[in-house]
Amino acid sequence: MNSPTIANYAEVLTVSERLNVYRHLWNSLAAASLGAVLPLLLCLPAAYVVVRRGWGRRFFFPLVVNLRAIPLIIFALPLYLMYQGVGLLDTRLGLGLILAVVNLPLTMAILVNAVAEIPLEIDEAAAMDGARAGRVLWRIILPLCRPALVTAFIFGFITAWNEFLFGLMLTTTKAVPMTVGASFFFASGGAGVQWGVAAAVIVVAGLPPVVLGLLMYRQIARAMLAGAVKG
Amino acid sequence: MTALRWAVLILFAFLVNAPVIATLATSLKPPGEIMGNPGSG
Repeated sequence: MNSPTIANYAEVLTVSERLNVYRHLWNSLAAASLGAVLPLLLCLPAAYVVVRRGWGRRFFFPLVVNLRAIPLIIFALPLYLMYQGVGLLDTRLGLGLILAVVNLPLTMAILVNAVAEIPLEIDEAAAMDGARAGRVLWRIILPLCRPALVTAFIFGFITAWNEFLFGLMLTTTKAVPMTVGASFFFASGGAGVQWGVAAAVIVVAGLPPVVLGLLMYRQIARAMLAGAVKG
Repeated sequence: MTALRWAVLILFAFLVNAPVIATLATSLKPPGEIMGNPGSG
């Protein structure tokens, strides 16, 4: 490199007709946050019931976790038609909802393991004091699962942020996420591909999950090792 | 032996991160320099 320049970054960070990086970042942030938080809200009660009551242990739990193995493109066509029907096309809410579905299997697996690690005696002690299932879940299980919840959130957020297929398919102008916005630079418009600007956009698009991963690295490592060695 | 370990580690780290380094380097290049690269015309 002879003369490094930040002109590419300046062009990326300037709002133009072709690219409004702030809007793409906001779209990605909103959709990825919803896509990471919603599975936590759905999976914690489900994991509690699967582990403590054994409901769905044989069919429901394997079914949800195996959703991960299905190629996402299979959902594409029916999902597009459904979204068209209910007016969710090109909305952050619609994108966030499908990202939540994408994240459900991993979140479910992490939380089932986390709840299984909590001794049953703690539940029983709370029940002796008169706490019902909802209160046990909210006051006992939730705080004890915090490392697993944080891990599931981080993995979910990173997966949702990096998701490309549904962003490309379900959005057109208003809710385009960062990954899809960055790809616009590879569609050469007359002057060929602007490699420098494209690279700068990709760097900007990749920064948020990298920063989140660096900040939360210790938490992830702790949660992944929890229960690895039983004393 | 320690030097060899470090060399392998550095080589591995470079190989794993090569695409990231290439993207970062490209983002800092002026358009003229990129156009001068082989295959970019």
